[in-house]
Amino acid sequence: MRLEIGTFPVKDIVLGTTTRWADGVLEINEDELVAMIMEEPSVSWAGLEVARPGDRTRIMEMRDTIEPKVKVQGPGTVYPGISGRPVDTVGRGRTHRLNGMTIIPCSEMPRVNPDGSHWWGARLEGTPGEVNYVDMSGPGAVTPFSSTINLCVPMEWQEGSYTDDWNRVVQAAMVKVNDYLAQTTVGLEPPEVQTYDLNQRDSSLPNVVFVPVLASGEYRYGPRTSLSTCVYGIGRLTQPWLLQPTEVLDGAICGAYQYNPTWPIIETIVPHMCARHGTDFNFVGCIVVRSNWEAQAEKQLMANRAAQLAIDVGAQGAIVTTNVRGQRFLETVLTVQALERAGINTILMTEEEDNENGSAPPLLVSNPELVAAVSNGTGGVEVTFPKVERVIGVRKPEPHWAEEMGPIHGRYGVSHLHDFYGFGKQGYLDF
Amino acid sequence: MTAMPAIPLAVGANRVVRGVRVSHVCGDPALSAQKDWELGVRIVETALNSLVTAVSGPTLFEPSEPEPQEAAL
Repeated sequence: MRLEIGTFPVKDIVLGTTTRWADGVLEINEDELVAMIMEEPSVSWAGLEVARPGDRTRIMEMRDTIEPKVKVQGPGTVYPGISGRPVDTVGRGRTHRLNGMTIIPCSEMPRVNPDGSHWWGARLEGTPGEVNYVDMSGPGAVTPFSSTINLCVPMEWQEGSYTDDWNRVVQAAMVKVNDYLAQTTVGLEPPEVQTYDLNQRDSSLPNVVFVPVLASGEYRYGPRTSLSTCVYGIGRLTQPWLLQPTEVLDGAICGAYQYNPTWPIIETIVPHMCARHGTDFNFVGCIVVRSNWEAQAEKQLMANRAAQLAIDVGAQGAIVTTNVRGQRFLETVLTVQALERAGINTILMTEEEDNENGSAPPLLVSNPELVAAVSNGTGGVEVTFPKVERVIGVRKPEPHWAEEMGPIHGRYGVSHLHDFYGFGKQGYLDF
Repeated sequence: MTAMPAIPLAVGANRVVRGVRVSHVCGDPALSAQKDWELGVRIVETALNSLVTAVSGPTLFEPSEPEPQEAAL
């Protein structure tokens, strides 16, 4: 596939009375956009807040993060399949993006459904559950989003909302904001255009695949849940998907599973590998492995199928990532094993487990075929998060959310600051 | 007893019994009530038998087979 990416840099966002992009400044008609969000069902309140790098601001209850994009040429719609959007194959033609900014829908989630059931991740009354926050400055500003200008979209639900239904509303609002903002670039000439022509391959270079293992929400919430990272809107447990990298750049992978937002999955390794296509290697595909299968044989089967897809596209090398630890790591390490057994040189990028003061191994499970790995830390942030001036993302922040927050240790699966793709700001010395 | 024997074997558990799935380790709701019960009994009996079976290292016990197998992973 051949995809042109037209980049419109965003150096500031101004909430005002018109909506346009000009000379790096994105102006937004605040009243109009908020009214559009309020049109979604079950929304009792919505707002807009801008968080800039260096601000003493803490963003609470991030539900996902995406970069604004729009297709200006070629088939399909960016972020396909999410919220009922078309599922036409994307990845061809031209896409415009507003770069240097993100959209962050923010919301607490209904803790208890009207039928009495509750969301797995809910902070139940009287329990200490995790609070999800992103700092924009200070030593705790470790996510990539502390370097981007973030348009936060805090929302509140009406009484009687179910978690999964509310999540669909949050996603619908997110893509609505995406379309509204990215539309400002239609008809404009992008300051920068990158062309990724992945049809052209150099036979003297090795063929490489990217294999992100992405947890499915089916195991906890059922096959049709929206509380899942999705491929073309499908979040259930499926056999591995073979996607062209340009499809991923157009948002074919989208949706948050717990604290795994979209942005790190699609805006990190994939564009970097695309940029090196034809120079250092041929980037021949993305193989998305779904994790959270419940029996070891199923995990083994998915690993085998992923390796077979890699063989079928002629891969000689593979980068494998994971995105939730625990039993999800088994699909990951079995995939590494299956790829290596197929003769494909494979490198695993992963966080390590908390070493529990030196008593625990760095990986939950390993095997002899795992011979090359890049460590992205532990998910821990061993610093104090200083008091902030502004807390955004929720309508009525609890006062203590502005206070100093203690260090976070590398506990499995609960950190909202983890870094599975190597684009966080912590380095080796921090661990 | 686990749906994921690779994990306890990797950390050196001596006796590991393969269960069914993460959300129902000792049974299978897709079976009839009687078969579900029989499967559960077989898994638990395998576990009890493993306790009186000498092992020299991490060993996987398969409920469907009478003899334990040496761990492969």
